[in-house]
Formats: sequence, C-alpha cells, structure tokens
Amino acid sequence: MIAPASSIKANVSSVFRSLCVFLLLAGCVGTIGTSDECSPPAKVRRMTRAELDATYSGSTGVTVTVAQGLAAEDMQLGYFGHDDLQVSTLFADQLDTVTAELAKERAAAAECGPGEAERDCAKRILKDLAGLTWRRPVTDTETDELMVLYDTGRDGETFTTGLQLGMQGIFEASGALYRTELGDEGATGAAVELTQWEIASAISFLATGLPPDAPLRSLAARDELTKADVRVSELRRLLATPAATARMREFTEQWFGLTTMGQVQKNNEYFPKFSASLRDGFAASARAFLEASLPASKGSVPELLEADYTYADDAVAEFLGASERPGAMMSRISTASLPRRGLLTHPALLSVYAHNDDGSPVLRGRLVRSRLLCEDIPPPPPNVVAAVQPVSPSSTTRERASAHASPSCKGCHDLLDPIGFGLESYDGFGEFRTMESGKPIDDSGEIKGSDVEGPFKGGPELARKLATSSQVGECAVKQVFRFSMGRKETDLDKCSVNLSLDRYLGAKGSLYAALEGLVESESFIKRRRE
Amino acid sequence: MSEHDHGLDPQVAPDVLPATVHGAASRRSFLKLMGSAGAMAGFTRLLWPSVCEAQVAAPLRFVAIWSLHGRLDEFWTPKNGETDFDIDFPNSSMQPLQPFRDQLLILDGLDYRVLYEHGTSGHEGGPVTFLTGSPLTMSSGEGLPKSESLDQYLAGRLGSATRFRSLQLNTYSAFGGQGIYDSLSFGPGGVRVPWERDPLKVYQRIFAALMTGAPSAAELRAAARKKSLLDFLVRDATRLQSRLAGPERLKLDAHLSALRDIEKRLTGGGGGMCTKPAQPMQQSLGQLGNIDRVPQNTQLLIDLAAQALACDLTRFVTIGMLPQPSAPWLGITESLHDDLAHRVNEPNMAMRAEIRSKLNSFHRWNAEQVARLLGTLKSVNEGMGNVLDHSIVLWGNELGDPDVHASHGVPWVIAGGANGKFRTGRYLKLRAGRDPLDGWDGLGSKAPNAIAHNHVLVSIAQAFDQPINSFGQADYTGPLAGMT
Repeated sequence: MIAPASSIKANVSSVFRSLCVFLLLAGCVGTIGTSDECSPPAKVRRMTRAELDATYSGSTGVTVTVAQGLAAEDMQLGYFGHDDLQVSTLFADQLDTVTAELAKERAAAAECGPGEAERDCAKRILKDLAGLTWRRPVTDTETDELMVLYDTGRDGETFTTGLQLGMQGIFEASGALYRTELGDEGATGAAVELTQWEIASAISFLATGLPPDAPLRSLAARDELTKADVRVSELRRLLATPAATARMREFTEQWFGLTTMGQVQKNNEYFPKFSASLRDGFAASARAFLEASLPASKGSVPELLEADYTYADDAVAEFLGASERPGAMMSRISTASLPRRGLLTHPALLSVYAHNDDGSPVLRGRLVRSRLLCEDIPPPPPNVVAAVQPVSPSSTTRERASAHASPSCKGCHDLLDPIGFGLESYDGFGEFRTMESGKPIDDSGEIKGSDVEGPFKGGPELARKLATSSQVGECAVKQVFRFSMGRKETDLDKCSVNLSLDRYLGAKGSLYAALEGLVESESFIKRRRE
Repeated sequence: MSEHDHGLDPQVAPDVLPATVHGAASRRSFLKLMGSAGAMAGFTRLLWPSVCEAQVAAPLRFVAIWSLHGRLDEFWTPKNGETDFDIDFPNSSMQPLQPFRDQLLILDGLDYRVLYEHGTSGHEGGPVTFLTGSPLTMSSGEGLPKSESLDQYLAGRLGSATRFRSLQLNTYSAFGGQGIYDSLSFGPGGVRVPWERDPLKVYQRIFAALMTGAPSAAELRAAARKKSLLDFLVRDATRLQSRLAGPERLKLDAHLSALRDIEKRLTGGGGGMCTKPAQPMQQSLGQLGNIDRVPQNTQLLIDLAAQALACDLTRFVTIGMLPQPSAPWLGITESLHDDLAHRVNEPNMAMRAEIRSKLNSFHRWNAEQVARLLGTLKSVNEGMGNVLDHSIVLWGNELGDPDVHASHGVPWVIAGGANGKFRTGRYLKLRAGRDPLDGWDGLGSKAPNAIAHNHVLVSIAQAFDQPINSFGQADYTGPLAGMT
C-alpha cells in the first residue's frame, strides 16, 4: 500500500511494469508509449448540470441556470463530474420540464431578418442554435428533423410555437447532453482519432468547464487541433481566463474535500467561537486564497501546501491571531509569523476534518493518506469494539485516540493518527491552541511510509514535508487526471499520465502544467473502439 | 393518521400537510363511470387500466425503506416466540409497528454475508449490498455494486404497467452530493440511480401533470407536439446508441428507456382519476438541508410516496432515511454517529444506559416513520382489501451492532400483506444461538454460519413471480426458508 521511497521516475515506471512484462511475453512489437497501448476506449460522457447550463448559456447568449435544479450528480473518487453519469429517468423528466420553459423563453426572443421568409428564418435560427449547443456542425438529416419539429409546432399555432418545439429538441438532444469521444462516424479500424469538434470541446471543458469559444471553434474548422502545440497554446490561453480559475478552484476544493466547508456545524459548548458567519468567513477566505494563488502560481501544489499568506477579513484575521486588520473584504494577509501555511492549516479545512465537539487526528490523517498520497485506506474491520472515549475536560484528543493502539486497529491507525497528531495545535474549529484539558499540546507527528517518511512537529513542518514529496506530486497528477477525465487512470492512460507528470515536475509542481501534459499527449485525441 | 404524527413539527402550516387519500373513493366513482364506459373508449389518455385488473388481482408493490445505526438488542428484540411475539413492551423500538403486527415478518439474525465473504463490511458495504446482494467493488476506484438493485430489477421488468417505473426518495443529504452512504438504487451494471429530496419537486413530477376531465383541443395539439418531440429525441438517441458498445451502450439504453417512459405517459397509463395531494410548500436548498426540517420533510416524502403507490402511479419505491449529524427534534444535539452509535458499549454503566436510551429514541422515531407509511397504505381500500395488503414493505438497516460496524444481525422487517405470498404475523429467529462469524477468518473467507440477506431478495423477487433462484452474488441460492 505504501510506495517505497524512491525516485519518481522509478515509481511511475513500476506502475506499468506488469504491463510491460505482459507485452514482452506476448511478443508485442513497438515500444511502450506508442499510441496503440495508449488509446483509452471510445466513450460518451454525460454533461454535468453546470456544463449543461454553460452550454445553454453559450449557445443562447444569455445566462441560463435551468440545469442547476436537476438531479444532482453523485460523487465518485471525490469528484462530481464523472464517467458514470447517465440520463436517468428522473434526470430526463426534469430536463424535459425545464427545457420546455427555456425554449419558450428563447423562441419568444428570436428575430427574423427584414424580408426573411418565416420558414427560412426558422431554419437559420434552429441550425445556428443546434450547431452551438451541440458544439459541432449539424447534418442535413438533423436539420430536416428539426424542421419537422418546427412544422409540427407551427401547425395550427404560431411561428413562435414552431420555433419553441425545435429549440426544445435541440436542448434535449444527445448533442447537448453528451460529450462524445468517438471520432468520425465513417472511420474504420480499431484506433480512431477524435474529430476536431470533439477535441475542441475536450480542451475547453477541461480548462474552463465551458463550451468552446469562437477562436477554438475556428481552429477546429481549420483542422488545426490535431497538432499538439496548437492544443497546448489554446489550453494556455484558456487557463488565463477567470472561468479557468473558477474551475481550478472547484478542482482543488473537491481534491481536498472542502465541498462541505460552508455547511460545517459545531457544538458551541465545546467551541464557543463557532458561528455560522465565522464558518462562512473561513470558506470565503479559503476560496479567496485559491482564486488568488491558483492563477498567480499556475496551480503550484507547493504553494497550495506552504503559502505563507492567506485571505482574511477582520473576523478571520482576528481568529487567526494576525496583527493585520484587512477590513470587511477578504484581503491578503501575511501568515509568515503565524503557525499557518497553505490549505492544511486553514481553519476551513481543519473544521471539516473534525467532529462537532472535537478535532480528529483520524480524519486529518486520512485526508493526507487518501487525497494527498493517493493511498487506499480500508474501512474499519467488523467486530472491532471502537469504544471511542467521550470528549472530556480531563483527557486530550491524543489520549482518547489511544484506544486505537489495540492490535486490530493498529495496522491502519498507525498510518493515520500520527499524521493527525501533528495537527493537534489546531482544535476542531481550527483554532490554534497550546493547551488542552490543562495539559500542554504535544504536536509531534510522524508519517510512516512514503518518500517523506519520518517525524515532524506541527502544521508548517507537515506542509513542508508534503510540499517536497514526490508521492504527493504523483498523486496530484493522478487527481488532475481523475477530475478532468472523470475516471480512475488505467494502464491505457500511461502515456498521458507520464507526460502530465513530466510537465508538472518541469514546472516545479504546477497543476496547470499537468493539464498541459494531458492535452499535449497523443492519448488526448486517440481512442480505441471495442 | 394522528397516531403516527409523533415528531411532526407543530410549526408546520396545515396547507403543507398531505390531503386525505381519496384513491379509494375515486376508484369507486371511476368504476361507476365505467358502467357506461363505451363512450370513453376514444379517449387519447386512457385512464387507469389497472383499475379493472384490480378486481381480478391487485398489483403487488415493493417499497424499501432504509435507516441507520443498527439495533440495540434490549430494545429491538421482540419477546416470546414466532407467532406470540411481543413488540409492545416499554421502550420497544418497534412498538410503533404494533398496529400492523399481523402483517409483519421480523427477521432476527440476518447478515450481509456477502460483505464478509466477498467485499468490505461496515458503513460502506451496507447501503451498497442492501438491495443488490452484491459485494462492494472498488474496481473503478469508487465503492459500487456489481449489479442492479432489486427495485430496479423489478421495475425494469414490471414497471411499465404504471406511469413511473420507480421512485427514489431521500429524506436528508448530508454530503452535498449523492455518494456511497446514501445510494440504495442501482441500475444495470451497478450505476447509482439519483434520488429526489424536495417534496415540491416530487409532487410536481408525479402529480402536477395528472390531468382530469376530457382534453381540450389545445391540449390535444400540445400532446401531438410532445409526441413529435419524443419521436425526434428517440431517433437522435438511437443514432448515438448505434455507435456504442459495452458499458457505453448501457448509458444510451438507460437514456432511451427514460424517453420511452415519458412517451408512455402521453397516452395515459394510470392515475387519471386519482385525487392529487396538496402541493407542498416551496423550500430553498438551505431549508431542504436544514436538520430541523427533517421530520417535516420525511413525512411529506413518505406521504407522497404512499399516495403515488395508492394511486398506482408507481409500484416500486426506495426511501432513504439517510445520515443526519444529529436529531435535534428528539433532543439529540450530539453526534448520532460519534457520540451515540459508537458509544453504546461505553464502560461507565450509567452513561451507557443514557446513551443507549437516546439512540433508542432515534430508532423508535424511524419506526414511527415506517408506521406512517404503513398506516397510509392501509387507509386506502383496494379491491377486497387495502393497498397495504397488496404491498411488500422492506425496512432495512446498514448495520447490526452500530458500535462495531457489524454487518451481521442487521434488523430487517418485512411488512404488508404481500398479496398473500408470505406468511406474516411472525418473528423469525434465523440462527438462534449461533454466532454468525464463528469460523470466519477475516474478509474474503467463508462465514458458513451467517445467513445471507440475498435469500430474502430472492423471496421478494419470487413473490413477484420472477423465476430466479439467486440475486446479486450467485453463491447464495434459494429463497429464505420459512417466509412462505
């Protein structure tokens, strides 16, 4: 379970060693890394609600939020957008209702040119809208089918009702609901290349969560997106936009498990300072920090872990013990003289990884193991009497966790608790403390296993260890892959994951560079048909 | 229904309470109408074909309802024996079910054996295997079952008789999105089926579109437009489906079946004469996630589900009463999981008694919700009996002993007349005196003493006349002995 301390390259290659052996035995010609072994299966991905709203907004030119209220995505691997999403019965029903409303509104706003014949106007409007909503050229058959809808809606009613029916068809069609990775319809053979339009959507949604913009569409129309350098320069252009910052913030929040930071509740008996407004302040502070540090550092993971600044308003600054008073708006403050570095010591994170009456070394240790080191921690075995000692004024969190010293618990908890112990200076609401239950805090911790194995003391030292860990770097690249592709990496993804890791390391741990590696890789545009 | 209204928020305005169920009266008036039914044959939406069928054999329904934090033996275990069992003793956690005693099958000693032998037990395995009988697999990196759940299996085969194949409801969402702990229904291949938690949205989807009276010319034109739209969407999705294979094709299969369900509802198929319940009030996302509103929203959802079943708008429902941090309406402000469930074996005996008593009040509250569902179904006459006579309600739980994450000795109760398929009014001690984990050497090894819950899933499938002998993991064959 624990990767040996060794160079990153060796670690990465070891992941794929079994495959290499298999290929050699099978007498496979060709070297590891050619597109044959690096073409993941052709597929379709159902859009998330946010992606659908972005698509409708992009194609209609107005802000659309109808998909927000549809059935929520389930979370997989810690991320909301994933490959298993389907158009379930519930989703289809709800979509049918909201797209009827949307089509009604958009049809009423449609305008024909001066002297334009009614049916020609309808055809032009529907064809344009379909092209933008489906993010690809519309075939003649599809146009004819949309005009059948128009004619049916027009029959006995008005131009607007005809247009409305056609528009609803566009909004509910598979072109709107799925991103395809299938290649050309006429292509034959086992390996296919994505169409230019599929590549344009893939780059755009990956970087911004939005459909392709005009420059990207124009490159697709000119068949430019097969070129890796064009894809990368487009990605860079998009990563500099505010939409990309928002998307990378969402990624980081899901990666670190912060999506519930705005809903945390604490028992005031144990945490008198807890209030909904301070909790919301923590969340706003974390978001402001991410929105500033991600674009400025190009998604530097060491910076996410070790930044000696954060964002705060007066209330948060006071809670952190800072001398600065930045005012009512979230503003940058230095934490250089405070025991706060990056996300792991941020109160928003510390209060999520805690109980309502106590901190939790277990949850904090598990965050590091599962999300930052990408290790699988099994759930507790059955029949373990987990007599968790109650929170009491006479014992410390560390003492209460000693129940985990029993042989059946020890195996896993030895990996978890000692990491969490190093964060004991922060209570369950994230407040810094030097005493607990009348005893001085012991914040000595230890990471067992991994390339940064060994003891440490306190949050900043833990952050330093993780920021320099190659296993954390590999894990960050995997997390970027999982979020972007909506699934766990497999052997068939080795080319893109390896290139992503190369680019990530070359840019001193940049998530943006990891994305560039994914997009640059041949695997980004090659698919295997079953 | 007042006897089941414990815990109902007194602040709730009367207009959000469900209306009395009028299904019975409606059915009778409809049957009178049918006396001169020849004239109605030309209706585009034909009303409730099942009403005629009901006179022959009432349709059988399956409802699975799920709650958490296991059982406490001293409060849960019925007294006495198989037929003279007693759940009416002081502090009995199942006491709220006493009015339905004759239609209960209490299963004592049922185990998620598949989790011990093939997968992962504990909090993670329970909801995954509950209705699937599958081990929990991490092959995609996410804890999922390998195969579909019983409600979806039955709905896929029998659900087309009603307007909605199935409904999935969830009374609370703690995690900001559906995940491993709060998914009970899974489609083919083990894909999570999304649930609804907003009573208003459930109402709008199930009841708001129900039309009464003859359609106007405008309505007929609207129906024709809708038909044309669906033709277009089906053709479009079929084109994409034809390009896909394997699991990718399953996605478009699900999509097409969803479109066909909408299409089917254009031409009737139940509920035409059913009285709509009162429309629930609008709630913001914050209000839906507000723990203080759990009692009110749970009851609204249960009532909407009962009404949909009574009106024969659907026959397959899952209801998750899902992880809540606490239960302030019962005076439980501490963490249900950390401070109660994991401390039921607290060494300090006075404290232990207090903790167990508090957790029992939560278990009893869950029983009250189940009783509310049963009571509503029972209040609706159908054929020679009532809707509860024609239902199988399965009340399951994630764990046995909550402290040790035990996936054995899980409290399961079956309620309802089941169209006479089960012998009810009994308390079954499935493995009296035997330790289910005797001889079990850890995850992945055999637990021959454990009683696989898969047998009960087979029993239920067979009650629906499905010719199967195993469900989920294929090792466990046959129905549960003694059910019929």
